[in-house]
Amino acid sequence: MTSEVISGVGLGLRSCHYQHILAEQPVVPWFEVMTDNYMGAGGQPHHYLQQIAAQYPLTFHGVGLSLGSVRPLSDSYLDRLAELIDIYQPAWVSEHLCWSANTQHNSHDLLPMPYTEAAVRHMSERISQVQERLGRRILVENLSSYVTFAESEMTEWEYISEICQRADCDLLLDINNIHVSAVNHGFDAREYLAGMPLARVREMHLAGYEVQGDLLLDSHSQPVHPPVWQLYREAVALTGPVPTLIEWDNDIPAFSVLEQEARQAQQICQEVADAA
Amino acid sequence: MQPDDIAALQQLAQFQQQFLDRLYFQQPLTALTVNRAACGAEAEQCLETYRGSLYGGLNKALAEIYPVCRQFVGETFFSAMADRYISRYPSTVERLDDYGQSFAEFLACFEPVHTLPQLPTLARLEWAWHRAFHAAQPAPFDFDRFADACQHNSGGIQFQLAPELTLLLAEYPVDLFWQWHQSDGPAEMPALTEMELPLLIFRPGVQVHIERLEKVAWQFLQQLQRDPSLNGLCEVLGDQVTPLLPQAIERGWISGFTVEL
Repeated sequence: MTSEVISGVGLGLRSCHYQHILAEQPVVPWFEVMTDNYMGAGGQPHHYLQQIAAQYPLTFHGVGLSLGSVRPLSDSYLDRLAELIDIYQPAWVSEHLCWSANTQHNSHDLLPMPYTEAAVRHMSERISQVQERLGRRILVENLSSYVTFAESEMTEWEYISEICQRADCDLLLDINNIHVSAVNHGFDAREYLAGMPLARVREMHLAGYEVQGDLLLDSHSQPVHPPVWQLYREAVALTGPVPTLIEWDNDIPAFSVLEQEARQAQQICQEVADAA
Repeated sequence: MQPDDIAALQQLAQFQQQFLDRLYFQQPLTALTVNRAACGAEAEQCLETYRGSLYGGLNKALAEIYPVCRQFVGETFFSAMADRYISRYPSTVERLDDYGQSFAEFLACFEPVHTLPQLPTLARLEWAWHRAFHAAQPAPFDFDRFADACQHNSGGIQFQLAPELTLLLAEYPVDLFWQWHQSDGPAEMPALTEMELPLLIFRPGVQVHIERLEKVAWQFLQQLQRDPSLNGLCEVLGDQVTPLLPQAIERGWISGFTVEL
């Protein structure tokens, strides 16, 4: 199915739900595909994704592009991503505002950047390169983070706003990440929201965090927490209805649990619309 | 680029080098200064959170590639063993699917599992299964074109084995152990007594196959891995090619061919 129009609350596609989705054909407006799980040449991941793509609109979400790395962008990664876009025709492609690898090693994780002018310039240039290579605008996602750096020259929302403007890219606003970072670093999540380029937001993410000592961890292993629901309500009031995704990556529950989370997000959107 | 821009990029590169060295090897991070978190967490605790996330992610990836090894030694032991592997073999690959290839080599030298000599062979089997799982789906064998090539240019025929096909000369019946791990496998854990066992791992369709090979079939596939030409096959195996070649095509061991002029 060509993914021309995405709306409502979608779900992250996970392999443990393939059989359920194909057998039950649940009413889900769209699925978000973790692109890195389909970089392989063939096999079961593509066998199932082809069937699901025939029935549902898709979006692509990546973790492996390492936009903020100083080492060059990977041509082979971008080539494969372009192939997958050609095959599955996602409505859009998103990545994280992070780095993962240096010239020697790869963390396969989402690592933080300092919020400096140099980082803004580097990140926005790399996003522009990717957009040029793929022939489309991409969405970039705000991270949750556990460190800040004394050398940072601006707030996170100023950093993201500047990058989006220079690269002329769209924004994937992760509400859980805002809350996690706000608690960890002691900033006001409302100030963050107000400072973001909300006109560029094309998608929001919702997920659950864990508490580890003094820090909140963006574990994607829990239901969405009440403060995140509240922040989501406030974000939707600012942006209007935006396609929203329920993310769950660890200790993945039954599909019905994800559907319940999606219904709650949909209800909040409806309540915000009714209040307006 | 201005000199200031170059210097800033160099600092960013140094930070990224040091940050990953901190996470993998607990080396000092001096290129940038980590703030104490507002929630009260010390800078070191914040960095440890990233270290835990990195090790946790790679540990999970290894557990997914080597589920039978994990079952063999137990989850807790596997996790500790995987952490040792990660610190010794930090990821240098682009895709997470490609991480963990040297796990069998690591196990062969890992003193705490010397009493489990079957483990490295089991790991080799699981890595081969993992590669076959993600392998490309070959196009159907073109029998008409093959018949034509046999008639007009048989000397130029070069066979292509199924993508990511692996021949594994196992020292233990690890295939039985692998089957025991599956949900529909036998209830009794098989004995892992030492024996030489030629195994073939490949994926003819959606499912990965693990097959025991007769000696002649092993020689046939080994020869094709050394030299994919029909001529070479006939020179080494003679009349044995006649029954083996159709079998290899039918079972999907051979997925295609090219013709060199």
